[in-house]
Amino acid sequence: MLTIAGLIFAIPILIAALICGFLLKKPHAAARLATAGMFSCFLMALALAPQILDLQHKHALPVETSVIWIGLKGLTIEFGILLDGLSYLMLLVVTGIGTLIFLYSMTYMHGDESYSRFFASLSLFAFSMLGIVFSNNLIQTFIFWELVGLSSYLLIGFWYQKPEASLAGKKAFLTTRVGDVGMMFGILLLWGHLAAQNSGTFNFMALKAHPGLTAIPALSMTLIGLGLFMGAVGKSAQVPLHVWLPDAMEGPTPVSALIHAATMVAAGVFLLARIFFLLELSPTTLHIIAWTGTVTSLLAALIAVVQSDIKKILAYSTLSQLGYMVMAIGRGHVEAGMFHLTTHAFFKALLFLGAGSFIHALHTQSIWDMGAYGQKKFLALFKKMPVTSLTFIAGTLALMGIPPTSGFFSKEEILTAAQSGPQLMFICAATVVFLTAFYMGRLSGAIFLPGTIHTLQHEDPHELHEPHEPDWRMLLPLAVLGVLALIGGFLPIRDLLPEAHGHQDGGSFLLILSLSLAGAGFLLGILLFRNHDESRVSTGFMAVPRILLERKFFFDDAYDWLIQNVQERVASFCDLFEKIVVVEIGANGIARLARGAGSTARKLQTGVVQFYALVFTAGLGLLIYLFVSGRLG
Amino acid sequence: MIAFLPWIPLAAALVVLFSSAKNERFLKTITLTACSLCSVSVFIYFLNFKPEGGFQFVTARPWLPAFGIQYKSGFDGINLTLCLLHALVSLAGAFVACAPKERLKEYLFYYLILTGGIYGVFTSLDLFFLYVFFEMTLIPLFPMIGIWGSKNKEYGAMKLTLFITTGAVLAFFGLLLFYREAGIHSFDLVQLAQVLKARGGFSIGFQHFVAPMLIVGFGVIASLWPVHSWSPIGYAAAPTAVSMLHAGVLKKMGPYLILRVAVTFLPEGVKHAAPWLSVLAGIGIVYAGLAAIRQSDMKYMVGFSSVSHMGYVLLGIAAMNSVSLSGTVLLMFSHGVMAACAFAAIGFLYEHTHVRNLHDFGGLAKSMPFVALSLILACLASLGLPGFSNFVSELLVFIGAWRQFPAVVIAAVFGVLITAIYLLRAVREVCYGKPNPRWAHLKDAQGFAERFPFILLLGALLIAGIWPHVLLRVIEPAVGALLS
Repeated sequence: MLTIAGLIFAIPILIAALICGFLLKKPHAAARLATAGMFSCFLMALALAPQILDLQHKHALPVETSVIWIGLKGLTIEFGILLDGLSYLMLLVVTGIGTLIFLYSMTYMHGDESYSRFFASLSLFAFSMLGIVFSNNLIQTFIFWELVGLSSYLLIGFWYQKPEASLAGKKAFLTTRVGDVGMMFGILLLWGHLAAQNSGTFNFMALKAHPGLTAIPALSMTLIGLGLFMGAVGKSAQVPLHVWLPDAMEGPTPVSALIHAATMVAAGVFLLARIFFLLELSPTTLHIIAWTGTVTSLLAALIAVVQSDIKKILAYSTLSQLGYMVMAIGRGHVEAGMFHLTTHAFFKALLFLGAGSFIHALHTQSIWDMGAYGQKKFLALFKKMPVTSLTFIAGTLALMGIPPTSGFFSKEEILTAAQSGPQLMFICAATVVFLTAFYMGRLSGAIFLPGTIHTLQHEDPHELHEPHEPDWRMLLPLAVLGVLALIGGFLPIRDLLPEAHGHQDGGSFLLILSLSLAGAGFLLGILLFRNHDESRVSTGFMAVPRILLERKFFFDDAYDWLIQNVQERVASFCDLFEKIVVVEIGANGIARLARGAGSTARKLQTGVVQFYALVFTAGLGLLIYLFVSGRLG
Repeated sequence: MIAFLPWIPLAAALVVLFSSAKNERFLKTITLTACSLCSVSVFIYFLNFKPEGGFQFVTARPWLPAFGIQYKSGFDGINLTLCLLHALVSLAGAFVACAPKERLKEYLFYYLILTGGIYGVFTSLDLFFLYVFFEMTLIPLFPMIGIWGSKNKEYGAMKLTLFITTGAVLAFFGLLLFYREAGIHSFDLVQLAQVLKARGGFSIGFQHFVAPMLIVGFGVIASLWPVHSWSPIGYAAAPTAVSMLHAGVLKKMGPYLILRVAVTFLPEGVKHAAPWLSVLAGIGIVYAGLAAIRQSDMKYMVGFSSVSHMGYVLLGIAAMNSVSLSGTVLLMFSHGVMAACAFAAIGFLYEHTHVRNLHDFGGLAKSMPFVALSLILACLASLGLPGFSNFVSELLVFIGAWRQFPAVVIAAVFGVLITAIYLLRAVREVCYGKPNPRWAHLKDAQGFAERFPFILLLGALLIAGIWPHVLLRVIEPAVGALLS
C-alpha cells in the first residue's frame, strides 16, 4: 500500500521533469502526458480505498514509512509517507480534482505559447501538494509548504509579461512567507523544548505519543500553536494575511480552481487537522484560531457583495468558506472542517471552472458584461450554454447549502460547531449564510436574468460572437463536479475522518434557520440585481459601508502604507547608514589611503606582465622574510 | 598527489605567461585543462574519502625545518567540502573567464594564480603555507579588478585589498601569538592539535585574548558586520570571474580559518566571544538585507546579499555545536555555488548590455530564457527555497543555534523574509514584465561553453539540496572532531 502511495508521489515530479527535459516544444504530448499521469495517480489512489477502509475499521491506521533524510547526532529529519484517513481523503481530493482540472486546462489553455510550461508547473504543484498530504513530520511539511508556494508563485505569474500577474505572484509568495516565518518559529520553539528533554523529534506520530509535551509551559505551548497556525493563516489566506488570494486571480482560471480554491488554500486547514493534538493543548490557541476563522468568513463575505469580477467574487467566497473551516477546527470540530474542505473542493472548483467557461465564451470577467448578453433574450445565456449554466447553478446551490446538495451537509456541521461556541460567533456564522446566498444571488441575477439598464462598459469585437459551449474536455469536468457537488454529501467521506467530539445533531432549528437565511439572501440578491443595476443598491441602503467594502476594509492600503513608511524607511536608513557612517566615516582613513595608492596603481597598470610577475615574486619574498623575522622577533 | 593541486593552475599560469598572446585558443585550452584537471581530481578525492577517517591523503615535506615549517597538505571533511566548492566554481569561472575580452592572456594568467592560491589555502595543513597562499590570492585581485573591472574600479580594488589585508594582519598577529604560546616550533595544524590536546589546551586567559583577534581578523574576510563594507563595493567593481571566485570561494576562507584555527585551538575563547559574534551576525543579516532592498545595481544587491548570508555562517559558528557547524560548512558550500551562479548570470547580462540597473531590464524571460531561468533559480536558492542546499544549511543553522541564541535566530528567520523581498523584486524587474525593446537583439546563452557553468553550479545546488547526505556525511565527522 505504501509502495503505491510512493508511486503516486513520484509520478507528478517525474512528469514535470520529463516535460522540462524533452517536451517543451511538443505541447500536446506534454498536456496528454501530464493529464494521463494525474489520472493514473487518481486511479491508484482509488484502488487503495478497500484497504484503507478496512484498516480504518480495525483501527490499524496510520501506517507510515520513511527514510532518514538528514541524520546528524541529536537531529534526525525524515522523509516519509504517512497514510491515515485524513491524508487519504486529501489524496483523493488532490488527485481527483487535479485530474479534472488538468483535462479542463487542455482546452482552456489551448494555443497558449507556454502550454508545456503550464502543465509542467501544474505537475510540480501536484507533487508539492502530495508532499504535504503524505508528510509524516513537520520539516517535510514545511519543505513542501514552501514548494507549493513556489508553484503557486509560478502559476499566478504564468503570464509573466502582464505586470499585474507578476506583481500578484510576488505578493502571494511574500505574504504566505510571512506565515511561513511564524511556522518556522513554532517548529523551532517546539524542537527547542523537546530537545531540552533530549528527545527532540519532528515526527507527527512520535509527537502525538510524546510524554514531554505536557511538560512544556502553557505560554510556550500557546506560542507553538500560534506559530504553526500562522503557517495556515498564510496559505489558507486568513485575516490578516488574506490579501494575496484575490490578487492571485490574475493566474489562469484552472489554476484558480485547483490551487486557489480546491487544494492549496485548503492545505492550511489540513495542517491544522494534522497537528490538532498540539493545538488542543492550549485552549487560548484554539480560541484565537476560531475567532480568526470567524472574522475571515464574515469580512470576506461582506467584500464579496460589492465585487463585480466573477473570479474575485468567487475568490472572496473561498476566503469566507476557508474561514468557516478554520473556525470549525478552532472549535474542536476537525471532522466538520475537513468535511467542508472536501465538499467545498467539489463545488468551488466547479464554480471556478464554470466561470472559466463563461469567460472563455464571453471574453469578459465582469458579471455585468456577462449579463449584457442576456439583454437580447430571456435566459439567452442559459440556452446557449446549458451545461455550463446548469452545473454553475448546481455549484451555487451547494455553496449556499441547500439540501440535499453536498454543501448542505458540511455546512450544517460547521454551524453546529459554531453553535457550540460563543453566541457572537454563531451570529457571525449565520450572517455568513445569508451573505453567501446574497452575493451568489446577485451573481446569478446579473449573469442569467435579462437586464435592461446596463450598458457595456467596454466594446469588444469578441462580444459580437455568439457564445457557445466549449468542447468535451471542459464539459466533462463540469459535469463530474456538478454531480459531486449535488450528491457528494452521501459519499462515505466522514468514515475517513476522526469521530466527532460529542456530536449532537443541530436538529431542525439549524436546518430552518440556515434554509430561511439562504433563501432570503438569494431572493434578495436576485431581485435587487436582476436588472444589472449596480448603482441602485449602492446609493441606497449601503452607501456608507460601501466605501469600507470596496476598499476591502483597508487591509491593502494598510500594508502599502507599512511598506512605504516602515519597510522602505528602515531600508533607506540602513542604506544611508552604510553610505555615510560605515563607508565615509568608518572607513574614511582607509578610503583616503586608497585614493593615494590608487593613483600609484594606475602607473603600475601600464606595465608588462613580466613586471607584475616580478612584483609578485618580490612580494612573496618580502612576506616570507617578514614572517620569519616576525617569529624571530 | 594532493600536494600538486595548487601547483597545477600555477604551472599553467607560467605556461600562459610565456605563450604568445595572439594564440587565444591555446591559452584557453591551457586554462580550461588545468581547471578541469584540478576539479576532476578533487572529485575523485571526494569519492574516495572515508567520512570517519580523520585527515586523509596527507603528504608532508620539510621546507624550513629550523622553524618547523613544512609543506603539508591533506583533507578532512571541511576543507574537502570547500575544495569541492572551489572545484565547481573555478571550473565554471574558467569558462566565464575565457569569454572574449581585451588582454585575455594576462587575465587568464591572473585567474590561474588566483585559482591555484585558493587551492593552496584549502589544502594546506601547515599554517605558514596556508598564510602564504592566502597572500597569494590577494595579489591577482588588485590588477584584475583594476584593469577589467567596472564602476569605480580603482576605489573598489583598493578597498577590497586594503580591508582584507588589514584583517589578515590582525589575524597574523593572532597567529604569531599563538605560535609562540604553543611553543613547539611547528606550524603543523594536525600536530598542534594533538600536542595541545595532550596538554589540555591553551590557558583560558590566552584564549579569551586571542580568539576575538582571530575572529575579527578572519571576520573581515567573511564580511562580518561592521567591517563588511569592502564586499558590495569590491564585487560591484570586479569582473565576473573574480566576483564569482571571490564571493563564491575566497570569502569562505574567513569562516574556514575561524573554524580551523580559532574553534579548534581556542574553543573556550570562541565560546566567550560567541554572544557578541552572534549579535554581530544577526545585525549583519538584517542590516545588509535591508540595505540590499534599496540597491538598484544588481551587483550591489548581490554583494549586500552575500554579506547578509555570511551572517548565517557566522551565527552557526557562534553556536558551536555539531548541528550548527555542519550547517555552517554546508552553507559555505551552498552560498558559494549560489553566489557564483548569480554573478555569472549578472555578468553575462552586463557583458551584453553594459547595464546592471534593475530598471533597465525587463521581460528577459522571453528573450533570454536560459540566462533568465538561471538567474531565477539562483535567486530562489538564495532565498532559501527547499530543494536547494541553501535551505538545508540555513535550517541546520537555525535548529543548531536556536537554544543558545533564540533572539538572533528570530532575526535570522526574518532575514530569510527580507531576502525574498529584494530577490523577488529583482526577478520581477529583470525577467518578467514587458520585454524591453532595447534588448530585442540580445542572444541567449548558447552552446556548451556558455551554458555549462550554469548547469554545473545549479546542478550541484540541487543535488546537495535534495540529498544533503552526500555532503553532510563527510562534514559531520570532521565537525565532530573539531569540537572534541
